[in-house]
Amino acid sequence: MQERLEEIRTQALESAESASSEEDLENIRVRVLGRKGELTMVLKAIGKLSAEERPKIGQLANKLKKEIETSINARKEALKDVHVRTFIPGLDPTLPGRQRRLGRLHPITQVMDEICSVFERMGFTVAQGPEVELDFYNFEALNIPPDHPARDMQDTFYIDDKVLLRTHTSPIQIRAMERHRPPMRVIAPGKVYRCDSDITHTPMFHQVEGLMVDRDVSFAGLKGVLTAFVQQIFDPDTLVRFRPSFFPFTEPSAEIDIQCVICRGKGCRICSQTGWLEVLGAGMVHPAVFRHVGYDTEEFSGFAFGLGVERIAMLRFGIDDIRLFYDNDLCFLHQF
Amino acid sequence: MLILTSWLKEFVHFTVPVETLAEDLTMAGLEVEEIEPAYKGLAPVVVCSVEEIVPHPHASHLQVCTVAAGEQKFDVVCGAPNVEKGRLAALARPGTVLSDGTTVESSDIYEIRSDGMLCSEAELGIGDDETGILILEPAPGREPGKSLVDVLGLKDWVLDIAVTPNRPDCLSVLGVAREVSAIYGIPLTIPQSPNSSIPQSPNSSISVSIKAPDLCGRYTAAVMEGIRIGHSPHWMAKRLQASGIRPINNVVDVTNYVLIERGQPLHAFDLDMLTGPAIEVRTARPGEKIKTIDGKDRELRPDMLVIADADRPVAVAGVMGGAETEVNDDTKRILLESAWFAPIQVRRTSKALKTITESSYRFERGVDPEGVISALYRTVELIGQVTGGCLVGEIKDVYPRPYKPGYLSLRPERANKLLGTGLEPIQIAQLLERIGIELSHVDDEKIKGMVPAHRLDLKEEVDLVEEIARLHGFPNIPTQVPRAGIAARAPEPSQALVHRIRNILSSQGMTEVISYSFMSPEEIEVLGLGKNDPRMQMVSVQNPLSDDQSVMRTSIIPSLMGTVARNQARRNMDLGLFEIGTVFYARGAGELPLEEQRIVAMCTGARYPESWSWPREQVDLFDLKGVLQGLLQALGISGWKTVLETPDGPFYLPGASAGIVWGENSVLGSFGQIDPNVLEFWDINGPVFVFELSFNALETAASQQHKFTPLARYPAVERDIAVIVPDRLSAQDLLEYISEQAPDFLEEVRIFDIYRGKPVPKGSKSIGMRFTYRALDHTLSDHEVSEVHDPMVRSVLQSYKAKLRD
Repeated sequence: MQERLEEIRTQALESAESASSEEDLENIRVRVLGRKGELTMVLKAIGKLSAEERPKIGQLANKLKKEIETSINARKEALKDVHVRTFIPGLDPTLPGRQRRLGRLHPITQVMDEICSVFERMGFTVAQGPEVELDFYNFEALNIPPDHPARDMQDTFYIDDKVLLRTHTSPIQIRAMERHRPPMRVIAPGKVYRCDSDITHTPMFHQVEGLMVDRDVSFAGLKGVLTAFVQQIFDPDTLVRFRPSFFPFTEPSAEIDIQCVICRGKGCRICSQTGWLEVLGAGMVHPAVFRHVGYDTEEFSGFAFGLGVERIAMLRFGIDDIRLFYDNDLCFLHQF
Repeated sequence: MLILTSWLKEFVHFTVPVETLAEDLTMAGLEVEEIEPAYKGLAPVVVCSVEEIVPHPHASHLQVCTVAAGEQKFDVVCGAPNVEKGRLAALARPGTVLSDGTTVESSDIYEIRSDGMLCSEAELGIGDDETGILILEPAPGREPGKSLVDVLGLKDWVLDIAVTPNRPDCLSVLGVAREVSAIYGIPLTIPQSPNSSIPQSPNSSISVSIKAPDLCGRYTAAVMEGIRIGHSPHWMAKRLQASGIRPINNVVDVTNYVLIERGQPLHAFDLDMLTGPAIEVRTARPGEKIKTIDGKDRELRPDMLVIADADRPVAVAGVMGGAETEVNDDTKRILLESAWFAPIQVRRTSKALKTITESSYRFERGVDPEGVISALYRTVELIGQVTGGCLVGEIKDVYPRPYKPGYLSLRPERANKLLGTGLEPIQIAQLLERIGIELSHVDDEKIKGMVPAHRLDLKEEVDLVEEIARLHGFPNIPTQVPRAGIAARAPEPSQALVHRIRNILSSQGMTEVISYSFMSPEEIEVLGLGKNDPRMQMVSVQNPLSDDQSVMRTSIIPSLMGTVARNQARRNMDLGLFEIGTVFYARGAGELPLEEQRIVAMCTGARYPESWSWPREQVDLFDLKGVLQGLLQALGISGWKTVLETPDGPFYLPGASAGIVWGENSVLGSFGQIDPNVLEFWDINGPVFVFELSFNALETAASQQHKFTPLARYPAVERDIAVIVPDRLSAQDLLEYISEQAPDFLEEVRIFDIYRGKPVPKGSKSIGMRFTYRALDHTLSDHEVSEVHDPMVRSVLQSYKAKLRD
């Protein structure tokens, strides 16, 4: 009898251990512990045993019953934690997903935001002004009197004798200086207008101009800020070149070239074989501009700079026709 | 400005290679945009030996020569008398550009193929001899096949220099030479034309008077006779051509030559065509006209300055000479003019006549008043040389406003502070001397000096600082991030809002576009606005590039329609676009227009991108309104409603459009379906749905401080009903009525169904609503909800004569 119990025990525990579902476990329970189960039959047969064997075997059998029940329950708990992996038919995961239509920001917006954020990290704040401007703010206050040949540098759309479409965002700087005393660190992003239209010019385009005025602002500082800017917008290793130029509202004036991003300075069509690309204009604010806004030219000095957003965007994305920006073809806009 | 390096070398003997020169000029502010070999057109020309000569079978005056150039042999047809077997000649291979501008090609000459051309000096543009082909004497290095340019050492370059408006002194060979001298610190040699070397005849017969001395500060004149008009010598013609000037005749060419060399515009009159002969510099008289040498008849205005003889204007001062007194093939005697005209005067006249000349370009930027006379001497000398003419009488020099030299002082400390440099005063002084400043005083505090007459741009201390910076070299100025205080100024809040709006719209699948701010008036007019609508107050551009860009936009809707049309033409049919931009309303003349920001969005085409799993459905008004609602919700704007009465545009389809009002009566904007008649103007396939919002109104509405709502801790009770109401009852009215009756624990009423059709009677619709009740402080019981819900439903039914749908 004792051997029979041992046999039941081994079999039951083994099969409980290897059961892979609750159903299996239930079958084991019925086979061993059910009304006609193996162990139940043993218990029923106890009465036939001798009086000294009866309690001993009874004890063993009851102990075994508990042991098997515990084993089955333990296996049942363990099975709960295991995901049942079955093959799901009829699904093709290679089908394209259900993609929502993606909205995009215009590439000019994206590049403009990036440019502004570089300067904002350096403590510049954004200022704004009207797109239709007075001649005074667009030219005269910037040391470009009427009949000055420098007016030819910018082909101007006129509304009437005194009113025009701003040709640069510099008027914003004048308006900012009229309102605030130094220290001044502003950038003026926005649309500007010049009557010109070809593969590299559109009659409307975007500029970001900047101005820093304080005590002890020097040309060396201008070089520092703009070098940092160029290296953040392009690549930290970009070579930068400052070369003398002329703007009526700055002196000394500089144009800033970067090493051609296409040919890495070897010379190509984009850089007209020079290895350099002009990306910024800048300079120390001309004293005549400070006199217009009542800043003391002895106490304060400053630098100003300006750049065309389209130009930066074209270099960044390798776009060869500026007019694409205003054509707004969805196939173009969705590339950015 | 095109500058020939060999010409430049006559003034300043630089030794650096041309690439280095170009780089150094660029880094000193004279940007060299291009370096071109001056004999670029001769690149295909090679030395050849004539091996065989046979008569041309079909033309008695021609011969067919077999020439060898290195390994190759060519047959060329030649008519030159001096072609000889065994001699070395110059073979122009196809592609060669000859001095008259023609390009050599392989061609059949009387049925015989000629593989190029044997050329004369004149044809090659390297000498005056045109009597026969160029014969080269044999010498080491002149083997057949070698490039002629290399063999003759024709090493010359043309630099294309971008001269900025502040540096008119650099619009000449002499000016650039001065810069080269300053950059390298090497001497400048100006060939002087001494008075004595000019042949003179004693008779003088010309008077000069200046009636407008403020406009003409100096007028010098010389009379020459014995002029023989003809071609200029090769060297002069070559230099002019290299400088971009077409040779005309020897007199005109000399005036142009001196213009390029000295930067002083000159004019030559045929003296025999002048009446008087007297020169008067005066303003034009009313009604006066002149035909200028470009053949155009010009109406002169009294504010224009002219050169006149006794009868009439003979030149527009500083701009262009007259055709009647122009030097021509029969000219024997000339009057030469070298003058200084006021820049503003010349600029205004040039603008008014819409004519820019080499002369006006320089005068309006400013020529050297002291250089006027030396340029005239130079001209007289050269004309004597090339025409055989001689000077008659004395040179006239009327100089009513003599040049007064300018003196400037500079503080070395100030210069160093502005530049961020540590230059010694003596270094600064040396740099200033290089540009011709005559120093009168140098110490640690101050450097003083006299500005040379050709540097009219040096007016104040900072101008000298710039000179120091560029001559010291921008690369030698340190690069330092400035030290600055923290900027405590807050950014303009509208900036941040624009960013938020853009991001919210794009996150809803809308793509941003940017359009031109100008459009055609028709694009606004087609919207069908009333005469008094502010959008009809358009700002016109005086000088638009085209008629379809002639007014500033008063609405962004036409901009978007244009974009839709272009995209549809390219089969981009499914569009969800938005633009944030400025619109402009005209105010009084001389006054700035009113500028306002607008946010406009549109959609058309399919609701979802085409896919295997989505239905092909077209967008409708509620897709667009959903985007609008999403925007308002994300901006935290509540308390807005749709008003049917004021869809603020006749361009919307009636019944499919509405206004959006916030608070008491602040109009945020409108939305609707665009009238197909309006779409027709752009050839757009509809339907197209649009909303337009005012940025200002939105900004006010979005400025409300947002407060946190505690999260619900007790379960909600939901009740669904469907009511049958008249079709014309708006959902908004019904919801408003309910919210007036509602207890504060009615959390939300959501419309989940709209149904028309059986069994709902015609003229009615069924609105299915889900009421969500929830209390903040306890779990609502069924009884509690019924107590308020049931009477509310009854009240709705009663008020709208509605029925419950079973």
